[in-house]
Amino acid sequence: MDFPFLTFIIGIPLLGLILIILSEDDQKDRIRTIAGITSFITMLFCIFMFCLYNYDQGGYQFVEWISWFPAIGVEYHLGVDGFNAPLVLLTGILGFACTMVSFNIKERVREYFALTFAVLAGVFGVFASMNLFFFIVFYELSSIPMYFLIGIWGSDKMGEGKEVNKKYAATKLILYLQLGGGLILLGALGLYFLSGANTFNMWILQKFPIAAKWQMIVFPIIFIGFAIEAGMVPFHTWLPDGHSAAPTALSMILAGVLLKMGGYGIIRVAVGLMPDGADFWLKIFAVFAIINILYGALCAMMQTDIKYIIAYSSVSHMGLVILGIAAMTPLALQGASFQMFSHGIITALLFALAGYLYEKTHTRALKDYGGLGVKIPMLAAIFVFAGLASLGLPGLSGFVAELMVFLGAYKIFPVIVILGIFGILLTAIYILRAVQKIFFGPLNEKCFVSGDLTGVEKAGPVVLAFVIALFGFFPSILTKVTNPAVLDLISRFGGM
Amino acid sequence: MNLIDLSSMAMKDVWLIPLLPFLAFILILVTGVKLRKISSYISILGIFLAFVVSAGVLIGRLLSPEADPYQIFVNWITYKDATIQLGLLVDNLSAIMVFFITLVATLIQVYSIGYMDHEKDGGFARYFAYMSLFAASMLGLVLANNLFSLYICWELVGLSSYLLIGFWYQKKSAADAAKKAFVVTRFGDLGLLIGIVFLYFLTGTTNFIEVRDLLPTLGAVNVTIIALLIFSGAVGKSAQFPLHVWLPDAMEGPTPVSALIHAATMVAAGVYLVARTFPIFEAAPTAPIIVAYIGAVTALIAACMAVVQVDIKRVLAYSTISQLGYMMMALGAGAYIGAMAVSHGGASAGTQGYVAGTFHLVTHAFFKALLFLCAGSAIHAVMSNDMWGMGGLGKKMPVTGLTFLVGALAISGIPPFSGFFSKDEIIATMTSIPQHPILMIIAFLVVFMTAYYMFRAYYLTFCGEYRGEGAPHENPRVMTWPLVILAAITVVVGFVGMPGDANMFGNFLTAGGPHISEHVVSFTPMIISLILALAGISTAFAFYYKRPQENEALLKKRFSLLWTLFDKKFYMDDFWEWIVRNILFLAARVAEFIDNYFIDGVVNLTGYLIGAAGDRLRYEESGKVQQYALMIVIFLFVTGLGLLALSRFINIPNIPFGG
Repeated sequence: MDFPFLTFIIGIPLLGLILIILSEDDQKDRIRTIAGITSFITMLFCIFMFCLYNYDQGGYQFVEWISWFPAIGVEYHLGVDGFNAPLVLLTGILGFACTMVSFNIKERVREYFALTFAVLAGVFGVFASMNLFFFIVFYELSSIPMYFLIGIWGSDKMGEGKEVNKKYAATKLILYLQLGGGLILLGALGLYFLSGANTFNMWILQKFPIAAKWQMIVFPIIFIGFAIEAGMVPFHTWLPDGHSAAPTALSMILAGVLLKMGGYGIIRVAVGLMPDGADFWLKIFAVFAIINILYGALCAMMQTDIKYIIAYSSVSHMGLVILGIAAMTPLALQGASFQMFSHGIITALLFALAGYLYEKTHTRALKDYGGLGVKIPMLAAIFVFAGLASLGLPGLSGFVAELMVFLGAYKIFPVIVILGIFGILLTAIYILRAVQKIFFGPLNEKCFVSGDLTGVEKAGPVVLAFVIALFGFFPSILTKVTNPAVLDLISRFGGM
Repeated sequence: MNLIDLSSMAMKDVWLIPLLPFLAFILILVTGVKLRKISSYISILGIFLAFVVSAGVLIGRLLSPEADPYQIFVNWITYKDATIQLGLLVDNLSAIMVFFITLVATLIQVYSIGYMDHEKDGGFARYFAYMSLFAASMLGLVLANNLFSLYICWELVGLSSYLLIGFWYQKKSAADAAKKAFVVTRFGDLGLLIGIVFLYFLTGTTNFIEVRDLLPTLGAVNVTIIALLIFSGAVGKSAQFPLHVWLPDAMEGPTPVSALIHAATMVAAGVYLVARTFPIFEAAPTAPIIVAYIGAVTALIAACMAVVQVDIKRVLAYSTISQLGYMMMALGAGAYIGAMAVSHGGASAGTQGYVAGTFHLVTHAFFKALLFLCAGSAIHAVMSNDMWGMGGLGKKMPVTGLTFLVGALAISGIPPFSGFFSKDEIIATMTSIPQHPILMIIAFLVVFMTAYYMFRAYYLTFCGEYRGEGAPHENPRVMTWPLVILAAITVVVGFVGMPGDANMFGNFLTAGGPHISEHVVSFTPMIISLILALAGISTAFAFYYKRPQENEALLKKRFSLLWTLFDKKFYMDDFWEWIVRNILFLAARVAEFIDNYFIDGVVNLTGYLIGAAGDRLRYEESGKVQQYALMIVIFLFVTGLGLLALSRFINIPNIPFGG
């Protein structure tokens, strides 16, 4: 067996968690140091893993397979291919970035970092698991702590419109995630029994798919379970409330990777294990994709709280992921995969910056800002950069994803693609509107600003911005890893 | 080493042309904003070196104009067996484009050192960083060998334009104008992107040369759709009707930016795009005439609006829109003639319009940049854009005044200045399609109006008495030398495009292609347009040379209806504002309403019902064991019955617990 990279990637955050719990409450610097170091090492492991992935060979690599509870087909079974390798990398990068932005947390530092690391370990586990049982266990591990993170360190909605408090948001989020998880569990049990193999092993389930008529029933159950996580309209309202109420680091994780667990689950579990069901249902879900794109963007145009704008932009951008998957052409699927990675980084960056903006001004309402570009030029510059990436500026990663999805999906859904292209105009409108209200125009004298980004604060945003530009200029770093997995999945559709 | 070696070396290193300004951009960004002067030197060095390479490339093409186009590319995104490429293409058209763009950009950046002198250190460096970014993307745009590469650079020039219009972002008007420019041009870009996706779907490529060869296989309807979609991108970028509304507002940017981006280069990118994809337009039966009419309408209404402006930069902005419409009109008419000839089995015959449009693009770039820089020089001296606060500047600022006069004569089409030659070619094209006399009439009308509003601006600014405050004086040499050089170019550049067979520009541009030397030089239209131009100048002289206030008041009263219409910009801004407010934001409000009250209403209702049910049910948990036992028995009974009933219909698999 090779070096067990994936166990280390899941294990290091857990180790960090234990070390943090063993610290004293008042050893804040010690806790921060542990958190910083463990997240950094985890990121390095993820980068190594990604670079060592042999894309010429393709297929599953870094596989660890230990039988654990054979009677019910539960195995500790990890592995990565072209679909989840980028997502593990994404989680590694975001894990480090959100640890860095969390250094400003002052209250209950120990619990905060412990819960955050539990979420991270859970997310890594979801992405790496090849066994549905562990998949669901890790999913629960990642979602439960979110309730406490929002409830304790979260914040209420700001700006005009409907009022939302953090308790409501946390409850809504956890209920939705549990609903999604419940549907996934139901579907997983369906796969377990209906396949006749009595196993949770996805490799086996993939080789021996359940009968086509069962796929028709199980596919939508699992699809909707994951689509709730991915923020598909009309199951999306937990997303803006939850993302906005969460503390900065959790917002980054939620938007950056939790939504991607939904997209990844659709690809891996729903489509991967039930190609016949997918063949039938995906055409229908493509309609939901375009609703996501346009509806999310329209809602974003009306928001007055900066975090809500970013959250609704996620709803809109996740529509592209669903569209790419629904089209099931090589280019579109690759675009969906690329979009998951790209959107993860971009939105996390936007949330990180929104978090700093909040710390420095103590407000998130657009009307309280104005002309801040003069006072906080560095923050403004990175925010504009992230906004441009979000609206799909060429040279940055968002554009590549959009282009691939549109080009790939056109021959399947021409009308939907044309409507989707209109979505990018709406994106430009709400992003520029936000940027302008916050940073441009005459300085709002009433807005107190405590200063620009400091050295440590720059670390997270700069890393993310670098990644956005890197993958925007050299998309092949990612696409060549994704490519074999995409072609493999497509070939099981009869080479569409 | 001789000239040929040098130029072929330049050709191989053509990628340096966009790369050098881009490196300058990165370098300024990295070195930070503290190096004030250095940042401008870095930027100018980058663009100047790009100019040197461009000159080499142009010389190379001039030495062998019929050589095959030179292409280099890299595979950017690879999947399955197809790829998306990034690549550069050097042919005669792109060689001309990079040469004049780098030349104008170098001069304008030198001028900017003087103009941006008031800026603080950070702003100064930021300005030059943006200018370098712009130069890099603009050069990439004209060198692109396929529509993907072009689109990428197309958006990047849009970004630089956004950043530079909003350069003084603390001014609300500037920030608004920047946003407007970006969103309006992006609206046009949607069409372009759809066109690219559609073209790629049909042909599997967007490479200009490959597409040209595949055109006959596509079918007339598809080609027409693609042509119109591409044109919609051009309409946005080149500020054509009805998307012209962003350009006048874009004048909020620093004046050298207006000169470079919003007059000479970026706004011409739409015209360039049509020229670059000219074969597509020639192959589309109905698209070209739409292009021509859109161009004509744009040329006319923009000229009307230019007549009533009080801000010198806005006069020039409307003038730019009008002239761009003129170019579009020429290209459309040329493609129309070409399409007619193709449909009658003849070879491509649209060359005259193609050459005319492209030539006017080049000459316009020089004289319009010149006019803007002169205006900037005047603005820098009096610190205001308002022409009523100027006057008599010719005496105080002789270099600016004289060079502006050169530019004004050129744009009016007075020989021997360059505008005469290029405009004449366009009018000749219009006269060769008698089926559409309106185009010809508009072409003539615009000549008169152009001469009129340009000289109105000239007399108001440089003649008569000074009406402003302070004592304006000529600017430093770093600002006047670029004016002199541009004026000199404006005087001579027209001669490369002499009408008839001696048209070096036309012969070079169409070398290697299907060429027909059907250039009939007809003097009648030439003379008519000259008379019209002189009439325009005289009219302006009559009204604005002496006592301009009284005369303008008279005109305003006399033509009050028209004046209001022109002053209100034909209500186009109000129209778009209405659309945005009553359609776009209405849709957004509806979406938000659904989200807050319908979807969340259902969600909250569900939550409430479950909570209420829980409230009710908790009274069942009484703690009485007998009651619990009864419940268990009932539950088991019901479940057992249910399973039994179910097993008659479905074969339930064995549950493996306990073997």
